[in-house]
Amino acid sequence: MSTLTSSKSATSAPQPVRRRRNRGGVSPALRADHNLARSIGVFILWIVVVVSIAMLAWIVLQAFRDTREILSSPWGMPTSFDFANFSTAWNVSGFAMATLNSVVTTAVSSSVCVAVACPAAYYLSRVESRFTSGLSMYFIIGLGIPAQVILIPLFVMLDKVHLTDSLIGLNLVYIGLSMPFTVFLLTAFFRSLPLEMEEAAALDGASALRTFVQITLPLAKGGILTAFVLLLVSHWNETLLALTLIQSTDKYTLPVALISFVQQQTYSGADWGGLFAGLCIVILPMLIIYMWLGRRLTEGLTLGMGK
Amino acid sequence: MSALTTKRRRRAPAPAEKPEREHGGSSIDRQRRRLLIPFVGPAFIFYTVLFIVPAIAAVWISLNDWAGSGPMTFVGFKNYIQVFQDQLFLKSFGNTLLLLFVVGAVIFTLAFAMTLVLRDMAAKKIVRNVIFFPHLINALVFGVLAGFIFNPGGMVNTLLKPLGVSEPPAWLAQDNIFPLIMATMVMTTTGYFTTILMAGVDRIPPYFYEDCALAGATAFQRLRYVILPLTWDVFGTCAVLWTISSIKIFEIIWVFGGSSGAGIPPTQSWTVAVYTYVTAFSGLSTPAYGAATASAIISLALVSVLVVLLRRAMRRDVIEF
Amino acid sequence: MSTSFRFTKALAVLAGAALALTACGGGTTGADAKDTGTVTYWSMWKVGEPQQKVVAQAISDFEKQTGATVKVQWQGRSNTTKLVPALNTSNVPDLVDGSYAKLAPVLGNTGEALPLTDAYAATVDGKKVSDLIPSKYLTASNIKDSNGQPWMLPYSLSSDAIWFNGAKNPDLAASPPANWDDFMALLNKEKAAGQVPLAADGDIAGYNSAWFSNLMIHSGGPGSLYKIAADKTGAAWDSPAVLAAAQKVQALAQGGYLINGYNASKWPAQQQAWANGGADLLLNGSWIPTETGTYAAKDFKYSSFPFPGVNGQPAMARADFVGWAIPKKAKDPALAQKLAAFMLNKKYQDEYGTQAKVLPIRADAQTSPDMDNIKKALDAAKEVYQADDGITFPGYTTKVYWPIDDELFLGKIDATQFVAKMKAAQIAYWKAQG
Repeated sequence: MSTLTSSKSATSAPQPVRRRRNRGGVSPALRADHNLARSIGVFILWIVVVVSIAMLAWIVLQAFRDTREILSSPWGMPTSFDFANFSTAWNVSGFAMATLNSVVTTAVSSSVCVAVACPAAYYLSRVESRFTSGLSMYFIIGLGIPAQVILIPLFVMLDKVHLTDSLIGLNLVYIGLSMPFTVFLLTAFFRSLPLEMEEAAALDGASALRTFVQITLPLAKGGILTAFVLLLVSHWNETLLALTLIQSTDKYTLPVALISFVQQQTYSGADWGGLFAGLCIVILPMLIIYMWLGRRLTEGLTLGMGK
Repeated sequence: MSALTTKRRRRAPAPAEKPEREHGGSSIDRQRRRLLIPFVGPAFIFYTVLFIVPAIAAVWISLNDWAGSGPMTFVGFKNYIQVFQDQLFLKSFGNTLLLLFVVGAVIFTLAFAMTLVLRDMAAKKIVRNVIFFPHLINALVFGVLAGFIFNPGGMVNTLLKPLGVSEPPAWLAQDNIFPLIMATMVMTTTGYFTTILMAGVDRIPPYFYEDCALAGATAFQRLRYVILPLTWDVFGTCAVLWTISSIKIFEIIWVFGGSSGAGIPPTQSWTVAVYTYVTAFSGLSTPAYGAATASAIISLALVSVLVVLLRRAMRRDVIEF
Repeated sequence: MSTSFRFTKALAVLAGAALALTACGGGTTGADAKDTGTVTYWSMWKVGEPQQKVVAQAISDFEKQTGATVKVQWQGRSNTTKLVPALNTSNVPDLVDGSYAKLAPVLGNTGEALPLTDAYAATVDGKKVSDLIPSKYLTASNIKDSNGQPWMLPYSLSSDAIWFNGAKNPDLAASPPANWDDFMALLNKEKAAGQVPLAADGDIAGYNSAWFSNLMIHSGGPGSLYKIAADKTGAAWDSPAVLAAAQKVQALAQGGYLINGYNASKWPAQQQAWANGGADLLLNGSWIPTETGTYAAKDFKYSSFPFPGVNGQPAMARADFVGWAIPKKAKDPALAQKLAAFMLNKKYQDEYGTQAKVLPIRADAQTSPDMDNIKKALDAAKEVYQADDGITFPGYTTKVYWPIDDELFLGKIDATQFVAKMKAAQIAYWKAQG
């Protein structure tokens, strides 16, 4: 390496390169070429961003208008910021209860799934033997099985232990069904963690369990958080199982409430304003979580997958 | 220089140290092995009871004729033969492969392109976050909006009218629904994979780019000889994830083609997942669970074959850097 | 964050969530329904629908009268889908309702439904229930189980008609077309005058198939389409009557009578357009006034005439049941049957007709003015038939009939191709069924 590069790296090394924009203090070779193709690419990307944000804003604005207005002029703006649609959706359609159910179910099932999968993934990543490769393969098979296949047998099984139409039963099903993906993700992640610190701890006389808890887990924070947030998202949006396994309307989760709300709107006379309000209620929590945790999510995702 | 070297060592992937571990029977290894039951046990139990056992029951069901309740009649492989001979299943199978390969190719091409463009762009975090977001939205939302946006009197057509397009394409015609669904899938999934690929690309140490600049490589050569090989393992993981999830795609098609969950999408847009669901749950004719589970098991076989082939094709010596 | 802190936090979250879950209730409904006096009812209506209000009223009156408790889940139309997995267990509701088309595949044809002899023998308003239901309806719908006992107790009917705006077309209300030729003449007249004659939501296969089904049944009688579908050799598709019906549908599809964009829209866009004057006529069910009421044009007056018949055939009308069924494993069938019969009280039947604007099953019940013509047609009909002639062969309608009929109705194939394709597909279907 030339001395030119080494001096530049020496000045840039103390900077937390990963988190800052690499402008200034970075060699020109690292900057992308500014040519026509790239400019077009940037332009298109900005259009995509603007359109996405505009669509989101449009959905929120339509929730403030009523059916006839929406149908006659979809591009129009609301005349007043009247929350009537939102209160209809919230109260009449049981979205309040459904949101609470969704929040609890999602949080519990995601936490338990990650908590159970971590040790398993750690074991599968550290112990190399034919047995563990077989076990890993065993877990991976589950990734390909769609939920429709096991729906009926699952229902019959759950009923034998009186867990149908129960949020506890739904939680258990979500945990079981997300297990392959979580184990897969975390195994890949743990495998990429360096061994030196664990071996150093072993030399110091720490037991394997202590090593896991006190050394590996803190190192794995990023990957664990990634898995957790990914589970949050997929459990929040899960529809098929909730639709079949939950019968009482007061135990509906949000996607099921939304489907029944849509059906209600279309059969008993459309209320598009209320429908848009319902859509907002489904999207906005995701948006909020994303804005709050999103940075951690994308960083954790990149940490987990990038390794 | 020393700081850089330390960083490099910390990021070295584990396989570099495999030979050491295999020869060792160190005490920590022995301790670890003893932890099999408490560590792997709970996950194993959850998974087996809630997933594998019903799956085995499903295999048994696929060998029977069953209407979802009442008696089961054993028919051996009749359901499998029936499904394979069904033109509709073959068309759904073809659609599934289309979704997997065509949409996958488009997504990854776009994701790579976006990654490169985003590499040194102002406000790249904001852009990345915005394109990632559609992945988090429930499919039902898209289904409801689809009507609004693409109906003959809908928003796209009203936008096109002042631009002089008087005969806009029939967006929601039965033949066009599947391409529309494919486009929606591209839109929602590209951001997700772009984020992941960006991480892989960001990991590439700077000296590679500097070497390229010194050697006078063009952008395309840089892409081909540096970026692609060094992100290959990330790309491989994404490819496997996409393969598995694309075969299970169901809700977006159901909601897009059907009327907000009330009707059945047109058969031109069916994939194997939709075929399975309709055979079992359409509610409009006697359910045929045997045939439905048979079709689902066939799709599972497809996934396994594809994943094995993919892993084989993607396997390379890990490049250490 | 230190690991111990993280674990404690996680534990706290889990504990709190577990508490919340138990508060939300886990466990079965109806597990304690051994005590007489509780009926679990999964309703096809959702809260807020006009029919739901009538049923809810009836339920509260029933509770007051008998002292029983009725646990209702207003599930919506997917209540039968939810029922299927539940039938494998003992956790079934005592009472469900739904359309015949949805109850038959799940309860009736699988033998899982309780024979409703008690309900039919019960007395309501001084008359036996079996006398309150006009017999011609009972002969059409196959609601008899293998022992000849009825498993479904209808409380409402749905029919279809060709709807239009009575305010804009008063002459149509006075003298509707009596047969198909008159109907085509009407369409041609409107087309010549520059109006859009017909609206249709082309993405709803069930609506599209109504054209061919009605034409076939009107020319061959109720049960004719069913017989054609049941023919394993497919030879029935070669008959000239079938081709004639297909050609009529082809004339409709390719004659430029249908609203622009009907084949590329998402329901309910086209019926919305119709309700706002975008087209004159719409072939649809008797539920149209309720469904389109909230977005119809102001001063829209719902009027209809029956599907044009064929000269020489008796008057016939489509009549599909909506009613109760009781799973065999219900925990309190006697009480459930009482509730089922209770809905046939004149009071609720009248409310059904006037408030919910649908067709009650009792011939002496009141109906709203929108339904006048339909009711007249139903009362005058000598024979009745079901939608798509009540075909429930597994997968036949969804995989064989509807896709090919869609191609015909959306103008992609012509009548000869339609008949040929149906024959080939039907032969393959029956061969696969074994």
